Amino acid sequence: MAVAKAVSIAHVESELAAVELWPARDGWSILWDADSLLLVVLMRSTIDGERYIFEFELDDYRQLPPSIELVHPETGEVGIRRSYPGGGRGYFHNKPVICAPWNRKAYQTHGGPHSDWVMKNWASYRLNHSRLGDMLVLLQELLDDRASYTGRMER
Amino acid sequence: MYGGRLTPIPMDGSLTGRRLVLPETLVPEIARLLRSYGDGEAHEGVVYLGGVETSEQSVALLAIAPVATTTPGSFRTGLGANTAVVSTLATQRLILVAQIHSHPSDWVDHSDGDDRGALVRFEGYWSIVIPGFAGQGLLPLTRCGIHLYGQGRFARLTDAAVAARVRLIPVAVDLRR
Repeated sequence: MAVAKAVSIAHVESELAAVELWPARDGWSILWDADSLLLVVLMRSTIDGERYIFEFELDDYRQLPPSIELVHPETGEVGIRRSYPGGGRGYFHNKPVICAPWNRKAYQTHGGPHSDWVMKNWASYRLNHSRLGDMLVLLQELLDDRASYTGRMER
Repeated sequence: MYGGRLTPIPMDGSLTGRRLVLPETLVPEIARLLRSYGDGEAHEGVVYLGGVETSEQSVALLAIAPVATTTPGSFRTGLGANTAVVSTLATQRLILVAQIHSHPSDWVDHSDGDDRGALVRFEGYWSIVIPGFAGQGLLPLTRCGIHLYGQGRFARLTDAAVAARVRLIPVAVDLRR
């Protein structure tokens, strides 16, 4: 681990504090396990009521972006199309992956589609989505975006 | 030093703030689950409550006992255990409203460790500490430390606030008697 665990924990907790009102507002369920640097967030699309579970692995944060994966709420399947939402203005890539510079898994070195991004620069690509709270808010907005959200990516 | 914390715990004496509704039938189940940690030895235990929320109150409907590593003085949820909790909430179409854990003694404030770690820390979330490894159950509720997160911190409800804002609801009421 290149970043001391205590440093990653401090970053995560500081950034989550910025959205402490959102769970009550949008019905998120959030569990943060500092010991394992794992953040689990349950969100619901207001369009079709589908539930999505996002897992954020946050080792070496913020030197590296989060590693984000989705878990199917009923089967527990991880990282398959059935776990993912569809649409999402290109963020919900059908690989499937959350296609954003703030997701480690979007980089080709981690199996993602992007060879043109440099991971160490991740926080400078989209300044308005370089904090955990902003990432969560964006994900909720994408789940609620009638113009792009298409329901679960695969049944 | 105040028990397991270095500073006095903030208190919430409001009689009209956010409420927590607990079905009476859920209360003994919570105690049973808390006592079930430790394989026969007295260990701390942890239970999450799923339910529904309105702007004024949280209504608990489901107790969830996660996979956890426990000792007589601590608990730690295992890797993946939180995802399993969230999956259960999603399947039941509920949201997380509270975390409950037991302490060895009668001290039921939040320790500094309770304020960190795996606790949920978002506006309107409840955290309840049960004394004596839940050996005597949860009642009366004023024996327990009932904490509510708001304005960036957990605050413990005073006995009067608990009486006013934490409601036990019977499973049925027969008005014919």
